Amino acid sequence: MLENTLWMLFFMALTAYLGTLVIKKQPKRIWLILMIELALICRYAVIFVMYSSGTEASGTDGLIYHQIAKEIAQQLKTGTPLWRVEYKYTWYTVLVGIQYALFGVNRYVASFLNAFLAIFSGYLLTGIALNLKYSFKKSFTIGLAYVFMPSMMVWTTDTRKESLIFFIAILIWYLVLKVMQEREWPKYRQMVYIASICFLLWVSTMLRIYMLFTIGGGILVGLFFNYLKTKRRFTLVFAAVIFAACLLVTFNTVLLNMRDYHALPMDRSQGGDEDIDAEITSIIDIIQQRNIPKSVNGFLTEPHIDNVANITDIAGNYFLVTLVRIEMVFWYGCMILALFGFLDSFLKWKPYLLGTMAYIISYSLVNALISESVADTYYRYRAAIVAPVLLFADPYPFINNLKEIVLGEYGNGISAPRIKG
Amino acid sequence: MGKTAKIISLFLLIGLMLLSGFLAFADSSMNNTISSYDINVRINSDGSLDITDKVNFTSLGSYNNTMLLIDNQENEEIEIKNVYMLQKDGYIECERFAEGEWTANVFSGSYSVIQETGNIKLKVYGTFSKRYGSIVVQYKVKNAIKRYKDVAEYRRTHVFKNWGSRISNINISVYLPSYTDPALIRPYLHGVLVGKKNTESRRVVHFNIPDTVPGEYIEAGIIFPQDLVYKAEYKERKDHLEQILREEAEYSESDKEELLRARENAAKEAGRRAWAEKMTQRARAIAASMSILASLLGIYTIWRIYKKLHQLKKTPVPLNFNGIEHLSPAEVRLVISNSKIGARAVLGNLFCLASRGYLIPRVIEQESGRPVIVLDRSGQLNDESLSQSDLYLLDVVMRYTDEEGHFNPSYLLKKTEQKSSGKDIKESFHKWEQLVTRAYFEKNALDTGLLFYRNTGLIYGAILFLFGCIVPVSLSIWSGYSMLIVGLTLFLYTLRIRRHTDYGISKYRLWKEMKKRLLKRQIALDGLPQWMTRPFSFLGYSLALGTETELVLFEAALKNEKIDFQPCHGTESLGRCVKETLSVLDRALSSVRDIL
Repeated sequence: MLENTLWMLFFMALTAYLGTLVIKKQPKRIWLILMIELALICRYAVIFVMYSSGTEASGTDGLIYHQIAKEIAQQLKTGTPLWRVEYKYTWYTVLVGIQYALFGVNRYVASFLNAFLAIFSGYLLTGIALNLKYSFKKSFTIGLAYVFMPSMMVWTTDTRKESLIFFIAILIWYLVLKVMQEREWPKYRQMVYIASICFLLWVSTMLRIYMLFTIGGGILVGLFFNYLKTKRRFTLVFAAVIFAACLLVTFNTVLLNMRDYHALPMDRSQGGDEDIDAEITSIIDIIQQRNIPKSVNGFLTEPHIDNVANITDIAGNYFLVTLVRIEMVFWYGCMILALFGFLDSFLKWKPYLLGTMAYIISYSLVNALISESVADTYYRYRAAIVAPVLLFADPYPFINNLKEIVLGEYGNGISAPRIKG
Repeated sequence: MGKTAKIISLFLLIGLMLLSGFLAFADSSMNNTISSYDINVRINSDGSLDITDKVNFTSLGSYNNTMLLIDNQENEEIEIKNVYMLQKDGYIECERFAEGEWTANVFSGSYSVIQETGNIKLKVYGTFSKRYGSIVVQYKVKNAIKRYKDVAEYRRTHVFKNWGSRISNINISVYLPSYTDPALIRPYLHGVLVGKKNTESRRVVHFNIPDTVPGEYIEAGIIFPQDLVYKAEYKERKDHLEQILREEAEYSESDKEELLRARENAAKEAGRRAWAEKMTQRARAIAASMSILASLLGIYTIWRIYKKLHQLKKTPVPLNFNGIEHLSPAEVRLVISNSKIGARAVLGNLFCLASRGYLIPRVIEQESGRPVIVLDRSGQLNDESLSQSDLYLLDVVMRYTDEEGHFNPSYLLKKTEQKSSGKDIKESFHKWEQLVTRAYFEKNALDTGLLFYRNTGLIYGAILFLFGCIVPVSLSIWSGYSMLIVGLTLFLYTLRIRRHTDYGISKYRLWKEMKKRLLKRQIALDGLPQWMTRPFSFLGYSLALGTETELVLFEAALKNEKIDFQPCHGTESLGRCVKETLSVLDRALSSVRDIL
């Protein structure tokens, strides 16, 4: 318990320190940091409740990853080099294995780290909002909505890979915005950031194989619009490097790992000796069998309010069922508000947000088409787009713009200049 | 609460009602109801049972697991032998996994057993579909028959009271170990109001229950001669028949209030479901027709605006342009380029100001050795003939002069590399663009009728678009999407309405024609309005029109006015110089557009 307490305190201190680093020059940032610390404490509480019947018996995927991580830690301790370590399912198990090898097997600490990464993602999301020149109040709300969302608390506390995936996705978008905005940086610094983005794209691919195409595609779309708008040569260089990195990772990681990627609905009836073409054919077959609009609707809206009680993991628990129902209503509200934001970004031709929109759309499509059409799976996989959707969930810019045109600032039917960025 | 907040709240409320309310309706019938439940029980002479349950679920389409409750009474031992689930190619055998053995492969057909008080919970995991929602469970129950001195008793709960949904067509067949006198076989059935029991072939007892509702249960029992289970141990070595019969009589005479209430509740629930289903169907039908109507209304609005905009017939473009209305190069750029102003407009207006004597153009060499046109402020004072946008542009130009006092596009480009000055440049030129746009909008003003259509189109288009995103998710897919497309089209069309006014179209055609003639060299200086014929004014309009590659007339104008502006060597170099200046200024102004 003492060890766990020390780790908890360490992560809380780190959270406070990082808060001061990411959220600069904001007089009210202390409130944000305090609220985020509270979110971290809530996650600690969830962890203790979750493991109340022991760390070796609780959970589903989280438990598998923990077991494999223990084996990896054992391999590392017996002298197996990192690159020869045998792992299953996801590279996340290797990361946890390294942690176990370094600090001892302790599932609590692995969960604390996940909770910390989720909290750090909240900071980064607030940072993105502030860099997009949203007001502090709005950025604050976005950050808090993200860290206090009940499903986020659950998905980011178990020893699942979700927390790391969300963190990397948000970190990539944070870095992309920085690179696009900081034009005074020296060349080497820009290159270091771009290289970091490429590296993170590779890591995200190792964690969830199609992240490369959704995030990489989103970045390229954003850079394409940025180039159309600004004609900066640097944008072209940036896009070329990202494109090259995507190609490299596709050939060196995606195609090599596709066969063993357990989350893709491959046709395993062939006995496992099918080649990549067969795997791709299998995916295409599955997509063709789907009712695409219905699948997309399901991905965006499941579990429906009346269906929440049927989610196996929470069935019978009135409190959790109610909590998920409230979250679903919040999510529906968020999506409706985000529609205004989408329209506003589209009309104002905001490259970064258009890229983010492309990421949301492609991620939703991929998951709607290939993940199993089960409410709780959709619910878990959808969590990755919660953060970017929150960036759009503000109707005021669009409505104010429309109001300005309709009411006509200059009277006599002469409106303010048309919607323009 | 402000007006905007009220509008947003209202919209949010409607959206939430559509999303959560109708989705809830839509799914209210999606519980795991069972369409048929066949139970086959073989009583062995040692008092054990071999049971096979076959369950057909009606709606497992969106589930990856299902559950079955198995009665487990005191002293009984249950051994699950086989579990099968139906897949496309027939039944597959499921593998059992214990807690902690959860792997990603569980959904390819597996099951787990959870011991609870009075029952065991069997969970089957797999990919279910609407067509293939069937499982078969085979299990053995040891010590299931209670043997007494006079009779033996089979008594099991096959459907539990807390099973939360309707089960239809329950057929239970119990096979005694051997044949016996049918008069000695006494079946009974508890927990339901309607159900049949009959004995067949001196050995088999059939129970048929048409359906059960939540709150009902099925307890099937049979009293039969105890010597049929001669290998089973006695529960008690005393007579028990009388007690069983007494209990049975008490059960028969009881008012069965709970069962009646369960039926009543089920009827209410069925009524609610039927109502919800009816409402969903009605809501879908209404949403589909409303969506189509709304889309048609949107199309009609577009058509009305189109008709309103094109009341005047096309007038032919004049042969010469002497008498055309005076627009500044920036306004010309606005007319012909889909409202994009940019560097061409800035440079065009600057050259116009030069032609009027406010600026002096010069050519200097950049660091790269390429020539670029810079502009110096002349001594001429601003006068009333200058428009507000021109005054502002002159002011901006003076703010961004280099060390030598020139307004130099290369210098401006350098300044954009710094975030703070880049932001200033963006804001300054954005404000200038606003002034130009306003000036043009004053000329191309919308009348009251058009204004009404514009505002209606914008608001209606936005609402259609937003509902076009919500309705397909909650109610009607394709008709909902039609609103999305129509809404976006209407919104964009009305947003750019000034392009489609008679004024806008006539100006567009006029300047496009001029551009065409300039590029084809089909026009002379005297065919142009006087305010365009001065050399730098002509250059300004050429830039705005995008005809700066054709500078013959510019040279002619220079000659006419006897102005010596030969930056380098000949027209070709002059063209390159203008192109370079435009390119540098364009890069400078474009690169700041994404600064926030």
